Amino acid sequence: MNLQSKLARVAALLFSLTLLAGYVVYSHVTPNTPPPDPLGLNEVESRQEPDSFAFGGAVKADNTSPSSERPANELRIISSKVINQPVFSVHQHPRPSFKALLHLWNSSDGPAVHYVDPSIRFHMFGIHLEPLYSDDPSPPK
Amino acid sequence: MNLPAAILSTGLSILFLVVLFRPLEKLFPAREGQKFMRPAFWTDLCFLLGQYLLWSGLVFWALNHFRGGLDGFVPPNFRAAVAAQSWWLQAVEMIVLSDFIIYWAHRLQHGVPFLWRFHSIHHSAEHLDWLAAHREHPLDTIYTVGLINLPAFILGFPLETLAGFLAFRGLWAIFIHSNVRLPIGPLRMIIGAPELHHWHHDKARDAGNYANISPLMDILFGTYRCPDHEPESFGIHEPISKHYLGQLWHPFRRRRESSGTRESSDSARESPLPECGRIPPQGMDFPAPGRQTSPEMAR
Repeated sequence: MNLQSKLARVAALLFSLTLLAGYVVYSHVTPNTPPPDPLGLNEVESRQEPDSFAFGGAVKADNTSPSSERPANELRIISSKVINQPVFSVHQHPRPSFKALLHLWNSSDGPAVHYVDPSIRFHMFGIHLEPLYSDDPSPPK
Repeated sequence: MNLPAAILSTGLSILFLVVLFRPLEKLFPAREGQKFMRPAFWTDLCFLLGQYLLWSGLVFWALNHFRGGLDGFVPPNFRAAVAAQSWWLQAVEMIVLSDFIIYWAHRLQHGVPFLWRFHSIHHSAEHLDWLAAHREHPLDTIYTVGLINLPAFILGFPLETLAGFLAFRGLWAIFIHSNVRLPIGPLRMIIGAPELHHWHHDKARDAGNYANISPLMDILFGTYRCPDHEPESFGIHEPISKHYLGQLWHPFRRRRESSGTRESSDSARESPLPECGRIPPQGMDFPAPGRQTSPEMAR
């Protein structure tokens, strides 16, 4: 075995060990993410159209609770292999969008007022940028 | 998580597994020359996608009901007594009990014809690598994962405190299927190694090395095997479809013989504990390097 292939082997080993260690540490410190459930067997939540996704971190094969009060989609288990769930998880978020909200209200003090509120929300890979304008503007005086 | 999110997370996960394992398989191959796109690649990819996109929800649904059912049987003061112990003692109890249960559950899968029908799917892989680890019938998965989690369900152990350890075990379980031979020395006795699990996938049905990760249970119960070479061939002797759907249906097919298929092998006998690579002394029931271990050839 020449020096080049020895170096390649050491590099591959270090690379894989680093990835493995990174995954283990990341799994330990990131919050739990729900298991994927495309069939919706464990979900009761309402469905929305898929828009964009945020990286939800490593799916941890862990964390069960003795109590049956925990919702089904929060169950964590030991997996004999990481085959029952993807290694990583993503969360669904609304698409980056521009919204023009038309608020109508009647005031006893005066006529109905029309107010347009442009607001922008971004959710990209877990980064949530606050809207440029409030979603819920107070009525003009 | 809906379907597009599941597809995205599956893609990320596959990418991670390829990046993690492929360099090792390329540079430390247990079998030289095995290609990435080896035979049955697409079948195993279907199993991986099926596990991630279809069956994961079913497995969690089943486990959640299983856990809920157990809650009614476990006295609350038993769990309180367990919780009163120190954390490390609970963790050790949970790990040892899990390993013990899954060891015997795995032996049952090889010994009971009904369970073997399902488990044989996993063993039908004739080329082992990181992807072949995912070849498993979903009902076999429910059986395995249900039993490995049984101690945690009963004891009420907070598994989130072992999250990093469990993540490591999950990936290591894929690693031991990979086409890799790494000289990790005595560490093999604690966390297992591909060369041990490859012998479990020898064509002999009772080939030993039943423990999930650590071979300690195999050593304890005399089923540890570690010859110094790779098995001649992987897979099973019984005919089985090469396609994903055919393999999913395989356990439900009518059989002409139900219990007469048990295979045995000279090389699979229970054995004392040799070092990997050490030629066993005469009288020990180990195959010499290069010796065919399948029953047909042994005969």
